[in-house]
Amino acid sequence: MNAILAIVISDLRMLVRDRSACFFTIIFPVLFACFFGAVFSGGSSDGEAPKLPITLVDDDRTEASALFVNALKADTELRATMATSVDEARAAVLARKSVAFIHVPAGYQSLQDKLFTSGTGATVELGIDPSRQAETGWIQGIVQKIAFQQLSTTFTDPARSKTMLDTARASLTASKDINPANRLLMGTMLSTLETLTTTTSALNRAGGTQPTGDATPASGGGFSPVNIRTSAVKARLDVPDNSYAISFPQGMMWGLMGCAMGFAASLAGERTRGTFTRLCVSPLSPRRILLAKGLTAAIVSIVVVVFMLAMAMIVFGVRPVAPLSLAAGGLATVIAFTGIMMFAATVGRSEQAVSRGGWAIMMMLAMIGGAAVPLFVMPAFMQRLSHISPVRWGMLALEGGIWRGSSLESMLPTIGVLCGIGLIGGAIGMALIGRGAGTRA
Amino acid sequence: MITLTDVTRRFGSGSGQRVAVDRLSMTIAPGEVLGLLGPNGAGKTTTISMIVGLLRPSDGRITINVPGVAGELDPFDASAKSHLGIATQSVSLYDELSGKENLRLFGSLFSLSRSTLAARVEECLRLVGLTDRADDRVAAYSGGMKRRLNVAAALVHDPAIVLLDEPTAGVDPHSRHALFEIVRHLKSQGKTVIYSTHYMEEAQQLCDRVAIIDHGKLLALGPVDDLIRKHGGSSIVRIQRVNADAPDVTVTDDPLEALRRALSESERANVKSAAVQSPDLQAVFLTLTGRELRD
Repeated sequence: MNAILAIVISDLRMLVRDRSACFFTIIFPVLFACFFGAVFSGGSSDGEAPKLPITLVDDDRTEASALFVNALKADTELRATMATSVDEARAAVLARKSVAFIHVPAGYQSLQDKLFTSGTGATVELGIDPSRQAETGWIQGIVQKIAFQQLSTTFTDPARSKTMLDTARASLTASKDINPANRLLMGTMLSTLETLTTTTSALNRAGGTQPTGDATPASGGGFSPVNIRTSAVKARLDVPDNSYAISFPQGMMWGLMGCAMGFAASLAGERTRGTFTRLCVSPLSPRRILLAKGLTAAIVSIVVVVFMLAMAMIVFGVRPVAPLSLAAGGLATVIAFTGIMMFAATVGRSEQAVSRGGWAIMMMLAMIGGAAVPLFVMPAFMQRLSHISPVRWGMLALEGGIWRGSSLESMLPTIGVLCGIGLIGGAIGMALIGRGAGTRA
Repeated sequence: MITLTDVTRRFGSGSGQRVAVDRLSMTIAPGEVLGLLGPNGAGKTTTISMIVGLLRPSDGRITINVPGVAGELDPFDASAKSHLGIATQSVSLYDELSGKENLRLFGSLFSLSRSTLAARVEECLRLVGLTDRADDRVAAYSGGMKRRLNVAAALVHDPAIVLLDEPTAGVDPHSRHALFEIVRHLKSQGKTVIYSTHYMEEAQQLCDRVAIIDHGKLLALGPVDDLIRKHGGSSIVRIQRVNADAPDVTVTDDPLEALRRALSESERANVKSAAVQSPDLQAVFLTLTGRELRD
């Protein structure tokens, strides 16, 4: 075991010292992922904070609902687009064009006008994927902030406040089951409010301070000027919401390919340079030496995947939706490409042959496997053809954990294919190198 | 002791088949320095590769007996490997690693303890004169330094049998001399050394016995003097006389007597120069193969 470890450590040391190998194993995949991530996202690089894309539906079409919707559209944390119906808005969320939709139902304004007598405002619908708990809280906060701002604005608008108070007074008069003491109390309160709003309006007209958008009233006692009803919209998982969630699995795949081909070429080179022969005159069998090389390749592959994943998460906000599936899929992909490396290293007769021939084949497999053009945008026949490429299965495994939300159970066939590729590649490599033992001059 | 019994190695098949080593039989004693002398393509490297277990003989058998180890070892046994060390014809080192890191890697393949390995690495670096360059990457070494480190890599696990396959190929005189000293040091330590070369002067200087190989066949085996005596032929005495265009050439088994006669009182005044060419391994090779030993 110490001997295998010594080979692994030396190989890692040599990789770190080989700038070209480092570039193709780590730097190139990162550049690839960053570049294509930016391209897929539309390439915004003005340094602005990302906005949450939402879709709005205004079925009330009143002055109050328009004010509410416009305030949402103007919010700096949202990128709102309008839809004409709830179905259209839901479709946008399903297609991951929007994170959520907010539906302002018919009757919004009339319910808001009865705010003081009913004690509760209108209810708006927030349609969002239940897994997006952080975004749900974020959007709810923005909606409440805007609702309180609307309420504040209402008190500075004499016409709107008068309408609200008149509606409340009429409602009080029409109500039969209120006891006289309460009726008197509420009547007095409405009169006081009317005096207050009239005075405030007069002061504002005389050049007093206008309420600012930032003046969010404190919501005491759990009172909300608007209610939010959350409805679950399970988004389609065949399109990611973050372009880097597409480009980083691709980058990882290029990293894994670079690692596999780099190690394969290096091992083929060792066979021609004679260092492999020197390893073979030790008590280690050629198969164990190949295993040690495979182990090094696997370690480097894991480092590449973990490094790129960390970068995608920290820098580009990619959030793997199925971490367990990603771990299993990632490991299976590493096994597959380690097996491919062991196969290529023993089949190729020279470093050049492995490097050139191996990359030529690998490029083709990458093209049809989704490492260059995402699988989900490929035409149907290409998607069928991609089944022959190990890259496709690797992409599915990585994407399954990162944005497709594949369960571990549903990933089993993909994991099985990848492990099969790895085991077959490794077994052929072992057989070839074992057969070669005793025949080298 | 290493015993080769009717060892044959063939490459290819059918009409393209080539016999690299043809029924080679010999015994190499412990502590002996044996030279494998022959032109390129004679079968020296193939023979060495079979002795270290890199190549299986097509026919015949190779056995290894190591002092202190019971029974015969097959070169392909893992247990035999720790007793064998090889410096291959091409320099087999990792350029990206330092000299010390190379030796540490190759030594660690033989399950040496940490302290033993460290001591052996230092000792080997000292032996080949690379202590002061131990931490430099091999890529920065000269050709001669690489050759010396290549030999050190064969010695790091302290094997009883050392095989040096043309270790001086393409090296400068300084490194060549250093390599000769290393072989003498190994002999003084009682190591068995198999030294392959096509330089006859190296074989003559370093080896207890020489095996002359050509076309995979063992043509002669024995101490250098014996081989010369048996196959070297006669000495050649050349006397250049004053006023003579060409020297007088005498082929004789007693060159001293020929010289004595040429330089007698009466003849001495007429002699401008005298030279004796004793038979050497070149002559032996010429006698045995009908051609000269060349690259």
